[in-house]
Amino acid sequence: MTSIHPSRREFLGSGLAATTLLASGLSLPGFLARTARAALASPGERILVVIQLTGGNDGLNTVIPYGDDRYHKARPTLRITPDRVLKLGDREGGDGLGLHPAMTGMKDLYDRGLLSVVNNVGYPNPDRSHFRSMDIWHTASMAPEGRDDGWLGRVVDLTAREGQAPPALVLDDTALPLALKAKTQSVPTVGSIDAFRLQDPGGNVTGAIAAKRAAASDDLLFVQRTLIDGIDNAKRIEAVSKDRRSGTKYPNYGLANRLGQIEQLISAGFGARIYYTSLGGFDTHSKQGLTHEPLLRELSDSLAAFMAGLKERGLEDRVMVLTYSEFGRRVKENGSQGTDHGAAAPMFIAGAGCKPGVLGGGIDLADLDEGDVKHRIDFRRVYAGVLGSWLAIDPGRVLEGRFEPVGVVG
Amino acid sequence: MPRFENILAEYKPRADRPWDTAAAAHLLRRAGFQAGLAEVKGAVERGPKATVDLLVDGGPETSRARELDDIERAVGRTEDLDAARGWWLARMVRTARPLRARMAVFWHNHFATSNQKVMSAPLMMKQLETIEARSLGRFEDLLLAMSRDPAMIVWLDGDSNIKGRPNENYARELFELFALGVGNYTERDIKEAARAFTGWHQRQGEFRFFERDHDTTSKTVFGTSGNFGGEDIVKMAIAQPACSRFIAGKLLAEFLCSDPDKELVEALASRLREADFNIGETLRTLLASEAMFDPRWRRARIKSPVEFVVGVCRSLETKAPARSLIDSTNQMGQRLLEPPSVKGWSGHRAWLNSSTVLLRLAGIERLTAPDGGGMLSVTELRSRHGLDNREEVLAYCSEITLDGCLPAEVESKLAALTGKLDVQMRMALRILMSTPEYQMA
Repeated sequence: MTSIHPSRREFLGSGLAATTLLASGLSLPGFLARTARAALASPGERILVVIQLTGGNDGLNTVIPYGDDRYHKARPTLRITPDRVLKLGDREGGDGLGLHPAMTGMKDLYDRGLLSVVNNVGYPNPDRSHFRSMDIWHTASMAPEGRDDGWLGRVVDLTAREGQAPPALVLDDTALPLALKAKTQSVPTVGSIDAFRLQDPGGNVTGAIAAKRAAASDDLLFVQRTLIDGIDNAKRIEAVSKDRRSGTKYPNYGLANRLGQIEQLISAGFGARIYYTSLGGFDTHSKQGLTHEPLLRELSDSLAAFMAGLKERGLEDRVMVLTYSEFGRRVKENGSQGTDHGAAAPMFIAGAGCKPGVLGGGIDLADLDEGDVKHRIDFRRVYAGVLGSWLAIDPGRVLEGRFEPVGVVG
Repeated sequence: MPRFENILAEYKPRADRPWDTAAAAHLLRRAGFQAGLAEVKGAVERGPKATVDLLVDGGPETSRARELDDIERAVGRTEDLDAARGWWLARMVRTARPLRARMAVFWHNHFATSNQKVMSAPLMMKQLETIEARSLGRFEDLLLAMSRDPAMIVWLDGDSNIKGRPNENYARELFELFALGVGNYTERDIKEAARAFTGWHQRQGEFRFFERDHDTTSKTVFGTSGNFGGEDIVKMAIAQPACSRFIAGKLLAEFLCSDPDKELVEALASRLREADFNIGETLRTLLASEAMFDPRWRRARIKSPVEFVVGVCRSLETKAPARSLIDSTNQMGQRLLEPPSVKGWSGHRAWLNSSTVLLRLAGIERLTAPDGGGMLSVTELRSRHGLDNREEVLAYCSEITLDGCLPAEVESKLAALTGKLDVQMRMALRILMSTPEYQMA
């Protein structure tokens, strides 16, 4: 791992914004200098990829307690019959549970010891508003109104080092998620690594943007910093995107496409330790059967292709994938062949470093919280496990209070 | 008298807060878009109060905008969402009523309905018409019309809200996002209010009330019991103390500053109640107030992609095709008629990240390039505005982008430009529109 990868050398050279900024003859104010000095993370570092399932994924039709009559009674039209589920009984904790039949790719990962399921994940006094609940997951705080940074944003603040690459990258069509909001850095967000090109040969535009202002509000400084970061990242990503050697065939899904680009960035040594993307559409209030199955197939096939791509490049030991949604859905289906907002749900953790099997126990449908699955694992315990055992960051520096880590790392 | 009464007192121009081109351009940016030279000059001559009255009451429409109204019916029949988007954006560029254009986007964001679920461009256009007809009227009329709007009914599952099997989706968002805000209602209020909207369905794109599906038993909402229907719930929500504050806060964030303090919110909320929730009258007060011309709020809001793109086109009198209006706003993160969620776009800082800023910069690069698809003719601009020499060109460019207030280094970049006058003008515009200052309104 000591030799410098060719593409790495490429953006150590001409790709850096420092070149542009310094060529335009400016002395940089402190906050810009930090950006301009950005370089690379050390090559062997562990990487976390987070996939947000937006809208509230129906956990009960994802990891299915097919052995429980209560499940079949509560879901007269939506239930998956025992003969169709992909049974998880071969590994510890999987008795009576099965994956949705569309999830063959993830079942294969499970069989090969590359997937763990963490059941019953949630938090006390569940909030059933999409936005507040997502904010709770993003901030890892029960009072998200009081926080303007996210749990991964705090990791960014803790790990950002002078002379290193930005610690995180969002590859998605959405605005920066609260989870990635940091106090010291603006985390780059790109819809695609090919989305932009910028020509500024004379440095006139960059120079006019970067020049120090005599008087500037916080908002103006934010806009200025974001513009500089944009120019900087465009150069970095352009250099990386020239390095296309992926042998893995990704299925034709939006999520697969984004994960494929993340694979490319990781393999090219882009240097971020955290990558974030999402899959939306899980708010299945009516006719759930039509939409939920294709979403699970997209998730499962995309994740399987990503893991195969990483293996091909010899990166499988370095990458862990985590999925979550803002809440699960009500046990009893509603009158529209859909499900309403619920509470606890499963999370998935994938990668050679995970602890294979089912964690967090079975799903107890006899003891519910206002008709919803009760949480038995606080999501912050899963965060604590990933932070401490995978990213080697003291969870106490990221989370409010102490949480017993769930042993998600094998 | 509490201080907040004074915040909204009518603005009186004076030495330290003059009514000049910069003040007029600021008002037009806030109540509309980045304005062209003629629009700014007209406002300066008219004075602040008359300018606000014209914005709120709406003057005669331009013939170019009326042309578009003629084709509206045709657009409303097609299933082509981009036709609807392009029509809407092109009309924003052409209209003589910029405040009305801004209010339509404001309410679209407030009642954020997405075609991703509605899946019908005609229903989305119909919702837009419903909004436009009531955007500056009484909030109750708008809220009730939206509760009966077919696209909204599809969006928040009204059709599955039936006696005995209530669907809470609309009732929840009515309280959380449309009228009150989180923390101002209970879970029970939602469950009970949902029953009041049972039977409010749509069939073939028309609102229908199905009596047999309507729950006529007693509901208890906000501590009051009765056989309420949806109309009652709308009235009861508006009567909650939280409602005027919630709407005032959103109006302030749109027109004054991104994070209004409690005092401002209370002042505008009180004005809103006094005006019987008439939005136009409330805005008439806000836009012509001392607060509006407080120097603290000059360039204090980050322009949305729609404000940015439409503002560039209006101020530079470009002939941008609808396709490029659609593509630019979509890529910069504002896909009209497809907001990211029922919460709408977060706005302000959320508009900008290292990807969207590049799309703004790249869009300006394309527009000002010599082969920019003929969207921007600097030769035409020069002859229209009589710009015969370098000084006049640079003064014009500075005026229509940054109100003539240039940071020193930007000024020196412009001073160093060389080459043909047209080339200098293109580069000057590119530099000025790429500055952090131009991203803000």
